[in-house]
Amino acid sequence: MAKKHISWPVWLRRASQTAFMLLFLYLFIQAAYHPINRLGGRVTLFFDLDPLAFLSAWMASHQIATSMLLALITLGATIIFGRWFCGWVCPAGTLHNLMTAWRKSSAKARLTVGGYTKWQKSKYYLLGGLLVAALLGLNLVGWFDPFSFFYRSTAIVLYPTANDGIKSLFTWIYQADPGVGKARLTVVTEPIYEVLRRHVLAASQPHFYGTFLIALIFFAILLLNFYRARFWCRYICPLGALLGVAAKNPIVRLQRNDEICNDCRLCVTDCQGGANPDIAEGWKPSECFYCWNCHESCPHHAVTFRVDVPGAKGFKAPFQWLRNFFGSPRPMQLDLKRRSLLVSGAAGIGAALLVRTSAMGEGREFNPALIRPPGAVGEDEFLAKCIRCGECMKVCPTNAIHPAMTEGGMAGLWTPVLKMRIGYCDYECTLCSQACPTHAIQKLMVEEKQKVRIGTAFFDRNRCLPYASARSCIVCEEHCPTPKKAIWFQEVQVMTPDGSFTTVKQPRLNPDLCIGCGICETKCPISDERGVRITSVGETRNPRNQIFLPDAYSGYGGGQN
Amino acid sequence: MRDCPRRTFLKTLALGGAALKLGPFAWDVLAAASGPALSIAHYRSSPKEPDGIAEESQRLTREAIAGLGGMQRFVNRGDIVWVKPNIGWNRRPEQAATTNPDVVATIVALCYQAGAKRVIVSDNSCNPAVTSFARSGIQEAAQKAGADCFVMDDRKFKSTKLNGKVLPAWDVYADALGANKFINVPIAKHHGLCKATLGIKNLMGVVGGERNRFHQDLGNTLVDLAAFFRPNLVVLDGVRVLTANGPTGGNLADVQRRDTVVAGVDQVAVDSFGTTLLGLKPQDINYIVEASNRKLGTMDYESLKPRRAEL
Repeated sequence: MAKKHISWPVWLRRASQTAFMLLFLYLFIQAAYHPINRLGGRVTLFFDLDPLAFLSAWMASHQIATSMLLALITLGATIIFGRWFCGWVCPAGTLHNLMTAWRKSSAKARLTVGGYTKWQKSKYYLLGGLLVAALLGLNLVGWFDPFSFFYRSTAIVLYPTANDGIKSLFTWIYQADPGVGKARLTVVTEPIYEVLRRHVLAASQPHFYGTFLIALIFFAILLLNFYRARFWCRYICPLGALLGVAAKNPIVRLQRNDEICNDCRLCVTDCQGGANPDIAEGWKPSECFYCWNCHESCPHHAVTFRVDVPGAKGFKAPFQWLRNFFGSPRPMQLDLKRRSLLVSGAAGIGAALLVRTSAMGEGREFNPALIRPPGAVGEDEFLAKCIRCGECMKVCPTNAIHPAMTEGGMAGLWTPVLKMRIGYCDYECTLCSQACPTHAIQKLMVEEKQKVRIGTAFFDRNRCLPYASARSCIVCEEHCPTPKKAIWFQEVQVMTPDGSFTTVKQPRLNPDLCIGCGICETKCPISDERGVRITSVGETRNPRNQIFLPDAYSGYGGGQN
Repeated sequence: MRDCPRRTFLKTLALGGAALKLGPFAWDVLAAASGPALSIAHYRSSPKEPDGIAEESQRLTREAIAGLGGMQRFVNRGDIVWVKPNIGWNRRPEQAATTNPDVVATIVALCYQAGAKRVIVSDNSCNPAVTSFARSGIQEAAQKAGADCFVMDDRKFKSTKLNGKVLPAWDVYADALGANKFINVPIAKHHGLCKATLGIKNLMGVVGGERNRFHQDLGNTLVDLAAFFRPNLVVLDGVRVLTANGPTGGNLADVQRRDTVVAGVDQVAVDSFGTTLLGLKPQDINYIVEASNRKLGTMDYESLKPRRAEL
């Protein structure tokens, strides 16, 4: 086949996709500690542009994060111009686009991969169910939102593995130190690694709980692109559905020149959205990503786009355009079935009720392992706002924040929890609260955060060395960061196995001062089950998950300082 | 050799000889042995933050090192110098949990003046390294002075034979061993377990691995490190000291001014003097006693006839 000439709109689209993908990755890398206690840019930008995250968090929590008002621009632009966002901006879409284009197959096979199917309506039903549930306070949008999906997968799976792979390669060269005489390979590789280490790689290798499930889902969805072009975008993506609803009657429209067209249907072979470019008056604007592939694959350029503005051929008055938005001609309608909509709405209501009646629902049970980042709002409001994007997990400099599996019940899947065995909440750090796009973790000043209790430490005297083994240790006390240490110790004479006595310092906790940061648990030398552990009880955000009388602050004759 | 009676000289020779067998920086310990062993610089006044204290820290550091004969006694032309301050915690300089950045920057500048090719400032922090390097102010100050100051590269901890009493081998930062000279720059602080953290305790920042196990026998583990490393020079920051709730601190009420910088070639003597800054005696600190028992230096710092400078 002769080399195909590619026209400028396609190049422009590819440039745009590349630019936004690079921006996404750049902001991802910048979501890290910068001096002092700052992020390296507006790392929430893509979530701020996401009308689905905005809408669901608003519906569920009745609050608006002002930074997310940017999403209205996306929505407004889509109403007027169409669903360009999916084809030109969305980095997750770009990834699916790449996967779809990667597979070379015959035009006949691609006719199936690229063609429209009725199942593409499923994303609208999913959206309906999610929004109904959100209205009842259950916000599950984070499972399906494309930015959450992509950010979470990148933060939990792609970045840690890439980081480890790159590091291992350079470590291997560093240790083997191959070369001839004085010419060593490390002379080249070490400076490269030094640049990567300082600017791109994680400050320390991240390790996460629950990587397998997230990886499995991510790669399964990537593979589905071989079955249908951009499977996720066509069948699942609720943001795509929301933008599809908005793009019912845009002013940029596909135009088929019936005089030239010989119904060869080549335009379908590379159609990304399954928008029926081949059918006369059958183009579906709600499915079209404006990728320009139909124009590209048409040997006669019988398919093109035109802008419906005053002066253009066949221009309809603005009022006609607006009327068409609500009552568009038959092919442009979403064609959703009332019965299916009712089912999806009922599913949304059912899911919300199910979650409320589960053990974790309505604060019936407090999971000791459900330790939320400092600044996290009360659990119900938190679940209403959190979109499970993983920004907090990416920025945490100690790798303390992990995607929850069952800690918060099924509704809490992939929401952030702290795992003190891996990391702890650094006393002088507020990065997660700065990075949270929906303010599920409220923005806090360092001084405010230092007063927020996320849990309480408890000593396990059967394991803690000065109690259980008559050895000195007290690493917990050494690391305890509160200005007056919450961990104190008592010097006690204990008997050693040979019958002699020795003096050890046995740690105790002052619960008035403990903020549950967990550094004691992280640094405890008993590497499997620690001798001191944090549980969620006492957390500031939950007035019911408490131990002491409310005035216990004066219980030892000293307040928090 | 004015202040170096024969017995002390022989002692240092023997010490150097022992070091020659053990430590990586040993040859230079021997070379630097001829001269005063301890120098204490003290300010009579306590100038206020932030400019006064910066100038004070710089002058005290210069004066203390000058008392030993200047940096050229320790650093030769073309040397790669490893400067090891305490950057253990994500704390501000005034909280006195980390070494004063002006002390560190002055040492870096003096090294370059003495002809050093490269000065590296680093530490294996307890809090996240990136945050500690930034908030302690040391990274910025050291880089301004021309040093290479960046968090450690965890690939470079290599299991190294220490031949210690309780640590036969441990992970040591390879680049630190690759340097020609090693300058330990601790801050004097309170410590819950061992009462005071000084120079010998500061050596924990050149090793990796599960350091939290050291605490089960701090006396021996730390002295194993001290016997192995034998810094060419120790500069103890006593401008601000943390007197309680150490080693992390955080409460400014626990920070007191001592307006002192101590420099010495005998790490046991420097630490022994350091205890007095915290109102303690050398005998109170088990690793100092152990180091003295192992003949790594002298606890009786007055016997070294320290140079004293009052400014």
